[in-house]
Amino acid sequence: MTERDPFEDVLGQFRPAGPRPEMQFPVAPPERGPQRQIRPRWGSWKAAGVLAVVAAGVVGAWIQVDRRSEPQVIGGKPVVGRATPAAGATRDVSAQVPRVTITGDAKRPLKLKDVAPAYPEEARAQKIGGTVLLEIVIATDGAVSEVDIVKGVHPDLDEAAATAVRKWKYVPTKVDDEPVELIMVVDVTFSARE
Amino acid sequence: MERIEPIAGRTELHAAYARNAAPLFRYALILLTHHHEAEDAVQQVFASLTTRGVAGIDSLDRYLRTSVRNECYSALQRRKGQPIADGMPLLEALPAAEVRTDDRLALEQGLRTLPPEQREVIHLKVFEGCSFQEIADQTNESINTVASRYRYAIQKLRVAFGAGAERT
Repeated sequence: MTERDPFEDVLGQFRPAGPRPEMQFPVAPPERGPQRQIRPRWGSWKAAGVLAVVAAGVVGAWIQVDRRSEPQVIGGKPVVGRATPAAGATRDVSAQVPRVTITGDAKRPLKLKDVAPAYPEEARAQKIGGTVLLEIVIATDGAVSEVDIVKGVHPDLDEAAATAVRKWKYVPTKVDDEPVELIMVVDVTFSARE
Repeated sequence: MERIEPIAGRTELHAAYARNAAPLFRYALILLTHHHEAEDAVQQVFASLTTRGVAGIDSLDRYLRTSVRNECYSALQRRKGQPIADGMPLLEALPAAEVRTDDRLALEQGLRTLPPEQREVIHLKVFEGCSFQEIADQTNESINTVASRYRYAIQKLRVAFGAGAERT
């Protein structure tokens, strides 16, 4: 019985991806002593009522502000594709920041925040899966500022991938101690056959 | 063989974590094909040991590996039939290797479609360099079963990679 297959050499160029640096030794939850019941007194109820009124006012004001700042939605569905600069930003400002492109499997910046994509229900029911390739621009603060679908699988999966990727955050990249914007391609996989 | 006494402090576990966390994660990742679930499986095992300790085992490293494996298969059982989505790559190129992203994606796609038992054999044989006998010992399977799983897995991966057509 021969144990080695030549295809192992192809496979041997890879290894399973390593753990994220965030994976630390788990911290056991602190032990809690017996809980003491505290009965509220009338005075504290009054204070709670005042606080609730104040909080309601603040939330109401926040909702009004939030409604005014709702993102523009075209055709009833969020637009997936190359992101446009936020309102108020001008191309001149971003043009001053140099952009660097990473290609292939070259070393990538450390991902600080990872958000797993949500599998769209309809695609899940129809067992649609595949890998979405996205070109992203990482801004100088590490946030993903632009997302462009390079190779899509299905509109719903593309949108879910783009939504998740927009929430990712990386360590900002510097070249010669100067902050730069980084362009690279990332992939998001939806496995329908698990 | 060393005998592990009940762990009073957490020093031994911290040392075991530093030594084993990365390889255990890679093992779990290949079984589960999902980064967060693989992290959870590894951390679950260490968290459980932190609270209840461990005694009377021959090798802590081997015990950890078996525990993570059991945790992964339990997770697979819980998730049975449910599709998953992951925004992290399954494989990474070795530092010296010059590979194309398309090749990596093709292999990842092939790996994800394999049954977990076949992915496990590929991982232990190719990425960890175990012999069929060692894999059989670790997985409690016969050596013939392990060899068959490996052969089927390689065939499917070769097709996924597109190498099948090139070599015939």
